[in-house]
Amino acid sequence: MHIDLTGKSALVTGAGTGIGHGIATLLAEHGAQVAVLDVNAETARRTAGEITAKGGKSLPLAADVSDSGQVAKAVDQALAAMGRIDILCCNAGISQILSLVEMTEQDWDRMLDINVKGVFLCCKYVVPHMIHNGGGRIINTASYLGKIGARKLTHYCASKFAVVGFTQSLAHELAPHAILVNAVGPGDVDTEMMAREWVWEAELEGGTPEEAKERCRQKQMLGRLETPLDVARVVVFLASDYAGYISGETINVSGGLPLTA
Amino acid sequence: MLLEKKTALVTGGGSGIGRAICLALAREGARVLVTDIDEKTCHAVAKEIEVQGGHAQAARLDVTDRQAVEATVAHAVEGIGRLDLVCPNAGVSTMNPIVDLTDKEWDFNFNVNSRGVFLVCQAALRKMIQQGGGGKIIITASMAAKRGIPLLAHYVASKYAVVGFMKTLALEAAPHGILVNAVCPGLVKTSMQEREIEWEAKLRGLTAEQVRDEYIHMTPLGRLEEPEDVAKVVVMLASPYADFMTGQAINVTGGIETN
Repeated sequence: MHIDLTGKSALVTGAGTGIGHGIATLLAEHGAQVAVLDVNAETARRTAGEITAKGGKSLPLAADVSDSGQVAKAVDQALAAMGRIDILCCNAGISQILSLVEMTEQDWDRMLDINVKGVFLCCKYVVPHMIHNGGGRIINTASYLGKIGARKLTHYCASKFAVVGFTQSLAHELAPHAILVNAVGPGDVDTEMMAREWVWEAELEGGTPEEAKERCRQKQMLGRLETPLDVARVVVFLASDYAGYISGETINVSGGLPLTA
Repeated sequence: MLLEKKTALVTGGGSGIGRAICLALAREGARVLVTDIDEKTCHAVAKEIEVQGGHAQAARLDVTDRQAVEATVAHAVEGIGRLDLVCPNAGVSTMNPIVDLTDKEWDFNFNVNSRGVFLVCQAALRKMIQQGGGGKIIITASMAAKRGIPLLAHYVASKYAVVGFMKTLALEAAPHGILVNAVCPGLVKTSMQEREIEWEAKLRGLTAEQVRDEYIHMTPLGRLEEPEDVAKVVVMLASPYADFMTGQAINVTGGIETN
């Protein structure tokens, strides 16, 4: 037995870079056809191109997940090209390190719009199709900070707690339709987004981004920074037959964080 | 095959969830030492594995007996080579409201469910550290490690203890490259469940059928859990797919438990 997603079609958001890129490419390696969605059309095309260059099937889609019209259009395009969506990975997300007193309403709204409303909108437009199709898998990217708070991340944590709660509720709602809804809670993943956090950290706490990165690496229980592949492997597991009795769960793939956080 | 050339020791492997874990690990290529307090059943499961073309051995093991646990882990390494995976799965349950709960029931649940996990994990940890090269420990906890359940205060407490222990073990084992996680099954169709249904029916003045219907009604996925549903998740945790996960208690409950 092994994980074979041949014949499955997936839509992954925020798949131009980072964790989303890792998820999209690993799903494709396991045989799935993948629609790669990102706000950045160029990176979406790049990821889709990587998949097709290795013999897989993929199409790029450009959309801002916080924009209802753009999401609806992208979902229609994905369905037109692939015929179905069996696996939906609502992964697009942003972060920002900022104290509460300095946080503007714009900072707050932007965080919640992309990280939470984006998950809502993608599910809203895909779920009716999955119900009609008799089943599916939804795997949201939350964070280990969706279950525990951290300083200077109030809006980020609030957004990720929201994803965890949304995942649990949607799981209850869609269980009768054979749609399993889960989330992964990544840790400190070595991506461009994380690199920006190390820059912020350096600006706020002093020192250099390299020093912030090294502090982060020292914090890890498993002796190394997490990679997008580490997260993608658990997403693939959740998309597989092995996870047929799991729903409403947010699985921390975080090298043990927050046990030491 | 996800676990080719891996060696595994499973406790409580003679029936129910443990048997399903043994069969699933063997199907993925692992060599399995099937242990159980019931000698007949663990040999039967090992035979099942061999008949299916897998590799297995059997040994009687009472997980509350320190010397027996240590001897079994030592024998496992002699018999099947290095120890890559240990699944402390053996568990018991009884039912009584707290007002009637006896010391004997409390001790019985804690001795097997909590102390048994401690003894097996300690022996496994010592062996894995000594042999080097990492390893994995996957403990069978329960949905009862996440919520209170009437009639099962002692069982619940023993399973909360398991998850607390697991999280600390994960911290201590991490520097050695040993990953520790737990699965938290829900309402699994086993002989243990059959006993619980009878007890619950009697204690609440219901029929067994009514209790079973309640269980199904409680489950968002609309069916009782099979031991194989749990075993599949254990296989995934044992595989490279879960190589960056540690200290996690994964609910496998068909959506009942999301905590």
